[in-house]
Amino acid sequence: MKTIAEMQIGHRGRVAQVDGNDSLAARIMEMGLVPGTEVEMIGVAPLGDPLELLIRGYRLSLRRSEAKRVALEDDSSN
Amino acid sequence: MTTASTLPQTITVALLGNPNTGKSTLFNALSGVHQRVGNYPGVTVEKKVGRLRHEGHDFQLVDLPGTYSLAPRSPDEMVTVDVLLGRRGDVPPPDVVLCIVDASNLQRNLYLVSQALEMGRPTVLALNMGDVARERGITIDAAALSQRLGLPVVEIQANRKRGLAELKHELLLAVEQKFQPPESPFPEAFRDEVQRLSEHINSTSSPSADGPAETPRYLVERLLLDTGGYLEHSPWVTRSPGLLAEVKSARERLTVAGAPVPAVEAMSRYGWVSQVLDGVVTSSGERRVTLSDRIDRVLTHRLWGSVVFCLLMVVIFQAIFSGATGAMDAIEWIVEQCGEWVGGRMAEGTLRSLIVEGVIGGVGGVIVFLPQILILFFFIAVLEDCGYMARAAYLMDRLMSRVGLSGKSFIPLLSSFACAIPGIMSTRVIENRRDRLVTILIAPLMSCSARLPVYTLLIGAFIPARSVLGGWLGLQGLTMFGAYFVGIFRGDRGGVGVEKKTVLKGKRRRS
Repeated sequence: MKTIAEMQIGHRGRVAQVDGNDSLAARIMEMGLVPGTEVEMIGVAPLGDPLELLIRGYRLSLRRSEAKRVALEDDSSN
Repeated sequence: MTTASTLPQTITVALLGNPNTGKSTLFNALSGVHQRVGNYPGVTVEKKVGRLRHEGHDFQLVDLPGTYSLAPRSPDEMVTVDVLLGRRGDVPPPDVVLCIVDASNLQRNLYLVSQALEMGRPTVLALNMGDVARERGITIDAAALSQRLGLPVVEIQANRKRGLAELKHELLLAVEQKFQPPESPFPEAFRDEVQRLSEHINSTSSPSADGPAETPRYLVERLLLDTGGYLEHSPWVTRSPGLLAEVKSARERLTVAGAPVPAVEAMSRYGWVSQVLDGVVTSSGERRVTLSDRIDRVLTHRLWGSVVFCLLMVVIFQAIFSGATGAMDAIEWIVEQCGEWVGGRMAEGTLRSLIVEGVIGGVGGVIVFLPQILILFFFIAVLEDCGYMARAAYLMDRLMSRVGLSGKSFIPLLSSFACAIPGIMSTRVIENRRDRLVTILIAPLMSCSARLPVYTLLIGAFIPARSVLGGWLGLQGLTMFGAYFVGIFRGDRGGVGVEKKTVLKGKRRRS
């Protein structure tokens, strides 16, 4: 399954699940990345990390290591 | 609990909200100069209390640390939860909770509101930044929102002091009326497990002198959701034998029931938020590109973002380095004159030495840094208020994450090259306690400007003025570079070391 970390800039997707059940997973979900949420990748920081996403009408920046834990639904890669 | 006729003498209001929602602006607008800033005993969490009067009633306004969630995973968050639940002896239980939300980002902000409502206290919602929302083409039906939530909703504009009188009025009304807590957003299976755990706690807990009689439902929920194990050592948990085993089996049952912990919380709450906002918030379709969006595009651009950032840092660095020299020399001169004046009027002895070298010299040694501190704080205030600080943290995060810190540590560390004192003081913008302490501990390892003369002296004395690398690089200059490099390298390794070997063993995470 594709994760948010593999998304291209400008592409949209829908969250399928967040891996793990530790407090980092909880925090990612608290930020609004719960299954079913639409995500648009809007940018990458000049040094390549973190990523900037548009979710729920606001912008969230997420490190690649965190983005790798958020899997996307298969049919929604663009 | 208060009824219509018996209002408490002083109404305690807890001010809660996400970071960057204008919470501090509202706090200042409401309490003006009547503020006290201190610390919660036992933890380094800032405690801000303000006072105000309205319609003949005294209000005590407690500003809680800005947070996205009431899931306690650090001392700051634990303080917030304890204050709201009335479990801290140093703050009276709040009579009403004032929740400030950013109208342009309601989904995210209502997550916190959903948790706050479980505290079972009267709650008033302050809808701030409506102007930003309108600019983005978002319309909010405040009356409908109020009805859906079952809470008073007041539209305010904290920076223009609009809507404050109505807000104070609603706070007063909310205390007078009986609060009807809304239904829990959690699925039934989860609520049943919480009920079961509560019963277990009540039947097994050994009585204790200091603990409150009953553990609030919210804390039991948190324990069930807290997979990170932060709450496991709380006194109310350890007092109840077998509780953790119960929690474990409850989690297993919930996974089978399709409500896995901790995902169930975010899913239930965001589900509730969507229901509340459905039809209440309308967006004019496409996200409008505002001027602020365009500026943002430049500031976070791969090339231009870095260029602007470097230029800004050069300006700040230069200002702290050389802009402050005149003022610092002046302060030094004044202190010297004072010392001489006093010294000339006192008899030789211990007392003179104490006053001239101890008091005047000591205080002078501290206030000489004032110009640098003021300059750095001026820049930080401007950058923070115009939102550039968040961009800087975004740009520098990659670099700082190597040391186990976030991008927010960059400016404090950079300014430590000019002087570690303002650098350390400016770490207050870092919300994450662990990151803040690590930054404070490694800031003095950066070579500050006061060390420059020492380096120059030592290098002049011990390093020969030879050229290396075919004559275009001086050995002395190279040594100077080496001195700075060793400091940075020590800082870098130190950051990792401090993290691993000290009390800050907390897990890495983003603030």
